[in-house]
Amino acid sequence: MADAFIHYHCGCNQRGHVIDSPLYLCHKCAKLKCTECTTQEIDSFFCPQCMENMSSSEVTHFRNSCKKCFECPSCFSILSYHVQADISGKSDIDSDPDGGKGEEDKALVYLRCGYCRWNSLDIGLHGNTTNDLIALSMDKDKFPSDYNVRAANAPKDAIGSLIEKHQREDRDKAKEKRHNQARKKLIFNPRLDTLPERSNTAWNWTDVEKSLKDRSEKKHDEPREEYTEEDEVLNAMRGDSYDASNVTTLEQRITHPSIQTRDSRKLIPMRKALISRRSKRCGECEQILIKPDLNPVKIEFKRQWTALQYVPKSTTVCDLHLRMTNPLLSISMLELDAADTSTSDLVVSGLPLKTFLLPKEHEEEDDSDEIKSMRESDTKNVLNRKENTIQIVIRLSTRGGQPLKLKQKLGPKEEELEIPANHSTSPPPQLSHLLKR
Amino acid sequence: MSNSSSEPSSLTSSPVTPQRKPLVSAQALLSARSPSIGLLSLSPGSNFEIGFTAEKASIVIDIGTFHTRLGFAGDSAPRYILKTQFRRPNGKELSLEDIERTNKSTTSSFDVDEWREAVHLFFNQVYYKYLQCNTKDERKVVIVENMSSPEKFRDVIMYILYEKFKVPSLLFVPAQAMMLAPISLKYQTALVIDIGYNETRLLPIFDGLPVISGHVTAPLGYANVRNRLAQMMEKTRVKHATDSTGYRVERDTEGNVCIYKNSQLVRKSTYDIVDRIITTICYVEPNRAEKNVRELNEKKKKKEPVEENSTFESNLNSFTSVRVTPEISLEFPNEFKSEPLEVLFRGDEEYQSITSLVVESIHHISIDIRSEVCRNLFFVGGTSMIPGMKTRIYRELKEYMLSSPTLSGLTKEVNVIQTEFPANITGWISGSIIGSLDYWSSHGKPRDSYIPPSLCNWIVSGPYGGQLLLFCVGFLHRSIFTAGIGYFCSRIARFPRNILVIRCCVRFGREAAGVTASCAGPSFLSWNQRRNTYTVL
Repeated sequence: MADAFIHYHCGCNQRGHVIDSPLYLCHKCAKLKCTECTTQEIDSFFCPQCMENMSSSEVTHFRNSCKKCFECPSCFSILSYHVQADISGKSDIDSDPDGGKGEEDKALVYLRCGYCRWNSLDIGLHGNTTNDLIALSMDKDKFPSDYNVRAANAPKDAIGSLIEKHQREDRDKAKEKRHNQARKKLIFNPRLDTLPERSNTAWNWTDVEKSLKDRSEKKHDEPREEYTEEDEVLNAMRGDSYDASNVTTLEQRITHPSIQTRDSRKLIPMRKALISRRSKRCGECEQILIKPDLNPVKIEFKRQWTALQYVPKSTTVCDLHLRMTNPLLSISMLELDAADTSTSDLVVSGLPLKTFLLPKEHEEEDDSDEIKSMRESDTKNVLNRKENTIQIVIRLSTRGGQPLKLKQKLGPKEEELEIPANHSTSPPPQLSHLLKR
Repeated sequence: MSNSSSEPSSLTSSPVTPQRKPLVSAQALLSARSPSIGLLSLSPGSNFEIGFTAEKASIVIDIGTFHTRLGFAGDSAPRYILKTQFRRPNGKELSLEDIERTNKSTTSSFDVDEWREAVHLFFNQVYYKYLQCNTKDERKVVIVENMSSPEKFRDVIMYILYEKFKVPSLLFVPAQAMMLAPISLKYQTALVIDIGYNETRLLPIFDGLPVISGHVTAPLGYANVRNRLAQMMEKTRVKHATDSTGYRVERDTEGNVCIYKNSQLVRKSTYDIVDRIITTICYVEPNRAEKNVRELNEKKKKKEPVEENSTFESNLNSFTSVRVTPEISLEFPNEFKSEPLEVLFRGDEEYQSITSLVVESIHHISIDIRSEVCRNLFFVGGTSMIPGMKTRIYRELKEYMLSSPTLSGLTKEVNVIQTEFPANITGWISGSIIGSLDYWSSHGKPRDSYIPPSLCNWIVSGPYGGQLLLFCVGFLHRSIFTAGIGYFCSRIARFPRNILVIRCCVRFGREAAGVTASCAGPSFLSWNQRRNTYTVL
């Protein structure tokens, strides 16, 4: 039987689901933490294409997208800047985004997809320089894209004015209400002021009558816009020779939610969405578990407390054998302990009650006194020892998955802290893990 | 030089004025005369608006069965439209469609733990991948939800957002009741026809007030069209556009659509191909309207069954080619263009089509407001964007009314509201508007009052019971957002058979919008005051 890794479990889930997400170790509360038990926080934003770091104010301004990287609206791959030297000529020269500005005034910079040959010349998105092109792409009238910065910040669009109007009404209403209350206080004797105040949420008949009157007046004032059945798109589709090659797919349409064009010739390039680097903290004590480097080019972490580095890697050699490897540079102490067996399907019949010692990692001398003494003290349960790995036999009579507790002593400190952890293999025996530090 | 250097010193020399205050001119302060102006600083999308409280725009999420729309309150369109996907960390996909379907019969199949994991992952993506905002930002969250969405699902969302994401306030907006928000300047009365993925839902709104008695739903939607097209593809040999060798389309036992060429599998997908075809070439044929209505009426009279899958003849003379994948384009007989959509109009075993639903809804509302409601048919939902859909319903409705003795007077009144924005994001836009108004954000449920469901099971959960007050229909006449008429809040009181009563009573003329109630299992009950009966919607 192939070696099966035992998956640890952080124990946050009452029913003991195996969570296949990365686990972290919070050394402060000495517990394993899964993604659900951690809180995240965005540290920095950067564009995955040009790897440029962006400040949070820039991020808000450009609506979480890179200012100069574009995605193809047709096939979603990255667009590159191209320069057409002469407008009539057809030679395309690759250029980097910033170079080659000064020499040719007539040069035409445009975007092109290297995969599906889409280019921005057809929709009129081109300029003399890259900056021209970027500025043009933010033009609200020509390219009313959702990712478009100026369009987004334009305050007086339909929705904006609608919101403003409703806010004004709310404000007026609140003012009126306060005014009325103030007046009531002036007029009424406080002793008489026990009359039920008219609820603001109920209708009264004068309101209704007024409303009806307004309504009937309005009906005559406003000419109705009759629904026209004419539909150009529909008429084109009904024809026998309908050319569907220029119709956009659903995925292409929803890239720009406010436009959703059917015509693939009107597609507008998308801005590349930024991605973020996030640090993770323990949900209970706010201890930092993961802290990435802010520089998007560096891949090291500033802090890294993944469980992988601290908890023994456990594999079942067969379903009764445990192999444990010590990842620490110090000796670990292991203690296997049977947990509650009443509800489990697997019964531990021969559990080694002794404490096992695991030599530290990179132990050079395999025959040092320390290890020799460890060898001598080993019981029948220890099958094998090699460097920092130990193989233990646990006799399990399988009724199913038996939760075990695994105690580990970490480092020189003598504090005893517990990490319950369940894990399971493909024929799942369940183990829980206790960590001593 | 001296000017520029004196500027910071002048700022520091007047420590009395707080840093933010100079942003608002003194004049504005005077003219406002109201302390509430400082709170009204939310404006589209930006976080840098002038005001005392530079509050961050709320997150607005519209979770549909097919698509989820994400964005910030105050924007005129969502930032992202995504396929709705709930996955557990181990990759297992959970289907919102299933729980919505089984919703009305039983919710026992709902595994809370599984769903919590999936919803947590979902909101992780929403927060960090798409909208990229920190939980520390304390953004409020507006969730636009289907009025009859499963309660357990809502519980899970609340648990995750309050407990894990620490949202300061959460507001559930019932989609259909609020649909008029984006067009509220012009229309406050309409019949909202929401043709979605799973169901079609109708709700008449009169003067900003939902008329619950006219709320009808039927399982007619995009899913039916999909299935129908997949069925049709099984029966037809589809020609390849380039080399004219016979491609065969089949569905395997798992429901996947497979394309074979010379009995060799070329492409297998669940619904990608079908979606591609529907969105490129399919339309609704409006000219069949009158004939269809007459046929359906006749069948109804004679009580003939509607055949489940009506046969269609393909004459195989004219074809339209569709690029189903970047490599393969297939030629489909022209019957494929309009036939799949007929499934929405053909009528089911109860002779119910989308148009008959409209008629039913109109029948259920008071005679006084019918004509005005009919004048404003308002189509929302992605499926209503299929070309010809509106025209077909418009014409069918006229035909229905002509043949009906009670409604024939309304035939001339029928009219459709035309909007500038796409129908599939209407719900999101209403959420966006509501989320940026103080009145509505103040009705959200703050975090301190949330009690996890496990703790509050025994409580008759009123306003403090972890269940959100759904101030859904608070409208006053003349302006839609200004009053709460029939706000229905779930779990105000508990009836013996788990019926949750909703408190407010609405009266308008002879119309009894009445007390609405929602069951614990989230089907709806409406109480018709005039008839003094409960109806399960």
